[in-house]
Amino acid sequence: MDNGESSYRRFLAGDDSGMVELVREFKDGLMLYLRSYTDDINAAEDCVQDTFIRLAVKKPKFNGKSTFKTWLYTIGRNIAIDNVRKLRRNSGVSLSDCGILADEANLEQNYLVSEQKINLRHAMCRLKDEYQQVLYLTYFEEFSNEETSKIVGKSRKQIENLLYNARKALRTELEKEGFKYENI
Amino acid sequence: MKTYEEMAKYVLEVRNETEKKRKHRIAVAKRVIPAVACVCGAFIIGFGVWRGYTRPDTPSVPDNIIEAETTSVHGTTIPSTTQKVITTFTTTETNGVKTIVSTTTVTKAETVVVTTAVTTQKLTNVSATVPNNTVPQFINTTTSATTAATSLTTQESTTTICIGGGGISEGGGDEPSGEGNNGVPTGGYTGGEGGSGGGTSGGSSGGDSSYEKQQWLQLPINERYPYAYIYGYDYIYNSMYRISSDSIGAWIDNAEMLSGQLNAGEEQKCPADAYCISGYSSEEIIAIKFQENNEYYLYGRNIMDFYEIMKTIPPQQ
Repeated sequence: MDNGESSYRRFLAGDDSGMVELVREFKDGLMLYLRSYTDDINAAEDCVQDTFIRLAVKKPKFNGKSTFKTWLYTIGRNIAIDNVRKLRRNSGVSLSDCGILADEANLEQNYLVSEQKINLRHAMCRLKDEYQQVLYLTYFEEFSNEETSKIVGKSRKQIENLLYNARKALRTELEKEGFKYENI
Repeated sequence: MKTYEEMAKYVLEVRNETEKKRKHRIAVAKRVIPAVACVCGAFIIGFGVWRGYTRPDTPSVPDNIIEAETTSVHGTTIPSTTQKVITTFTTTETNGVKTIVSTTTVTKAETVVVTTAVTTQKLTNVSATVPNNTVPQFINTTTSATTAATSLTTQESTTTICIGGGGISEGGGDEPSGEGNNGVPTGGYTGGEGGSGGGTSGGSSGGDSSYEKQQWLQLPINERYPYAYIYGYDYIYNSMYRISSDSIGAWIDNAEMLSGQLNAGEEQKCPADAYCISGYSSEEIIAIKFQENNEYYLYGRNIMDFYEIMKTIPPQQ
């Protein structure tokens, strides 16, 4: 499968299994990414679901200017931002702090697999949202800076600066906990 | 947390429901839109028809109004004038006494020209719907002297005739002028008769323009057309006075004569011949000969000194 594009084309052609493949492929990663916007894994799950519903109902045209994954994550990010805005307007209550729920723990174990990555992500949760987003996209989803800039909606230079600062902040956090990573 | 299978299933369910709703909406729209379009079309057509027929061209005259038009023919100054006489009948019956009230309204335009000619008035149109055996024969005569005025005047006279009981009684209005026919009513009728006068027009509308034209026609021809324009010359010559043919030079060209005033909504024009004046340039003064007569009229530009020209080219009496 070429990064989900062929699955999406099959779905547009009327094959529902294409959508099942897309959900299976991108659900977990997208959910962990959107969690940095929503600060709540359940809200992130709703956003992921809304993202796939938008693909299924509105059937937006994928023009191939970026990879399918970049395009999908951009849609997900827009939906998450809308969702957070709605929640703020309706409830007026700030979102809960970063807390690891049981569901999230399972998801991390399934998706991130290695303990090192899990510890890294826990440390990331204590950073600013922007830092979390760029670090997650770069280190966990392995997007390039160019792709990250497209998803987040910032320039490449801004992403580079953000990554630099995020790395520094993450190192500080990890040192507080006694961890040390060579590649950060 | 949902598994990917549950999420995919939910996504497809939502997609199917949305598709179903969309198809339903399309089906409803396909059924409703033609009906709504028909109703709107009918409404628009109905409204258009209603708008088209609510304005009749001529207002209807009530049955009890009799219009008589009187034409007055004058001597020499004014060819003919029209004045309008409107007679309204109202019949009431109380205790066996029938009362007929006739109101005659005379509308006429006075002229500034005093005429002494005898006015002959002719009743041109009389139509009436009157009750049987209740209308006496009578003539209303309203006279008025010709006065110097320029506005429309309206005279109203009311005649009341009672029939039965003690016979006929008669009363007048502002200007009582009715004359009853005693005895049994005959059913014949002679309509109201306008007075003599120098009125120039009948109706209130259109009278002004006709009156203006009458006045304009009485002016000397060079005053009727005070401006002359020759093709190729960039200026207008103004009328001065009538001159003799002694000082007339060569023919220049055809000139277009302009009245400069609006008559019945348009400027009057007529063609004429333009001639040079001996000793003057055609760019200063010219002579104009109208086709109506063989007389010459002096026309000049505003730059010329009127009194200087009068010394060399005297006006013809």
